[in-house]
Amino acid sequence: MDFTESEEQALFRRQIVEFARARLNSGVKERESSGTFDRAGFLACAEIGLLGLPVPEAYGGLGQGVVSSMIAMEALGYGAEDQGLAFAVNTQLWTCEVPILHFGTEAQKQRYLPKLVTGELIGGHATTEPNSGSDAYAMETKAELKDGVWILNGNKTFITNAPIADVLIIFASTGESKGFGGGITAFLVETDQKGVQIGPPLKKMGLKTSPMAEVHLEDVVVPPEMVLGKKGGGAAIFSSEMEWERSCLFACHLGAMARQLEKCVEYAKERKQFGQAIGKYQAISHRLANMKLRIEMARPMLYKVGWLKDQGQRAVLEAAIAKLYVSEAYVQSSLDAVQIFGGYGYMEEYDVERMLRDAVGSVLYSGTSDIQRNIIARWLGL
Amino acid sequence: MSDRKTELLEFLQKELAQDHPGVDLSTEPLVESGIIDSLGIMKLVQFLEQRYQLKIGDQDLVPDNFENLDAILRLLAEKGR
Repeated sequence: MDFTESEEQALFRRQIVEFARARLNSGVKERESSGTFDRAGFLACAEIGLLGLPVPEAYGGLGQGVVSSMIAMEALGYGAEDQGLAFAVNTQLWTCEVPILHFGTEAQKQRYLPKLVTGELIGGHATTEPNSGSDAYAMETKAELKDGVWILNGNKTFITNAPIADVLIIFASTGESKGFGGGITAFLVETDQKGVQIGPPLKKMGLKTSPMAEVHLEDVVVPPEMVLGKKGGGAAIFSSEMEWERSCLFACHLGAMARQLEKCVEYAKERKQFGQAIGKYQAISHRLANMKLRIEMARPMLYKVGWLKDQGQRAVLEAAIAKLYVSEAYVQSSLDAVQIFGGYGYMEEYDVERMLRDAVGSVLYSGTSDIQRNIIARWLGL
Repeated sequence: MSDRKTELLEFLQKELAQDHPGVDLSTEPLVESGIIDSLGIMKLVQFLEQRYQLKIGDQDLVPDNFENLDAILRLLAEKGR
């Protein structure tokens, strides 16, 4: 494995960091307070190419591989203080564009990818339900074939981008029985279709600028040409999405951790107590050393996943390991950052508490830490 | 019994069916019985790809292709192995 960045990748990284600082960071606090999605920022991300990272040029994208996409996401996480916006970008990329790219028909690709890449359309996916979270394949949303069309009924929850989405990939059971064996199928559903109801934005602990809602489906008619992949192939689509998300989204978090460390080091040099900078005390410097250690441990884990995927290999185990480590490291480092800042870290003014609130979700989405440990244990033969 | 069938049965027994002792894996409905679930299928596919030097596309990861041993052998045959 060689993770040396090419000149082109290094340049792109710098460009994205500069772009994010210049275009995405103004007014973050206000948007966070009001839970406002930065649509202008989202479109700016499209302009610089971020929304088309893995999409071939034929559909308006940049045609980048996984490692290059991860570098771009790490740069976005490093440069952008609005992690909710970054989360919305990641959702669009890995849970909507990539599945359409890998599993869609040519007509589906032509219909959606060019407009998703430009940000004209916003997308996401809908898997989680009130009664099926980690047990994703126990979903109750049903799709029944009647008179040549699919009829979808059910309720989805915690759907990122739902309040702003134009198209969602809806996962529904198409088998007689529940669960993986019953057959899960993915459908492309446009949110203005009859029978699709998007609930009010859900209030969250963090990532408040990333809108999320419930999605209610009542007799939604979906023509067969809007089935994504094969009937019963939803589990494979979901697994594929998760591999991308567990590498690229968490590269974004890695970037955020690097920004967080710089902020903490700067503060530790400036803040004086008992006559010297607090960074001179081991209690602080060792905390900072541990934060650095986590970043350096996380980076090769993540990029290994990208490298494997770029080689055309599967990376279920490696993605689980990386996701588990990065998310838990992100939360721990965010707690350390609050501790380093002391009382100021608890105040909204310093942004440190927001980073902690943003980080906590990472041990839950894309499969909880417990689910990642289950995957690792299964690969150990347990 | 073919070598491939034997290898597959050994893999299923050792890696996926520890909680199903005494089951005849050569005839058991593997998906319906829960021996192959959403994680198990990924583990099995990784084994098949590495052991037989083939590529199973994500489009082929549907329960029908893994419902029993014969279905898996059919999939391998389709992939030219």
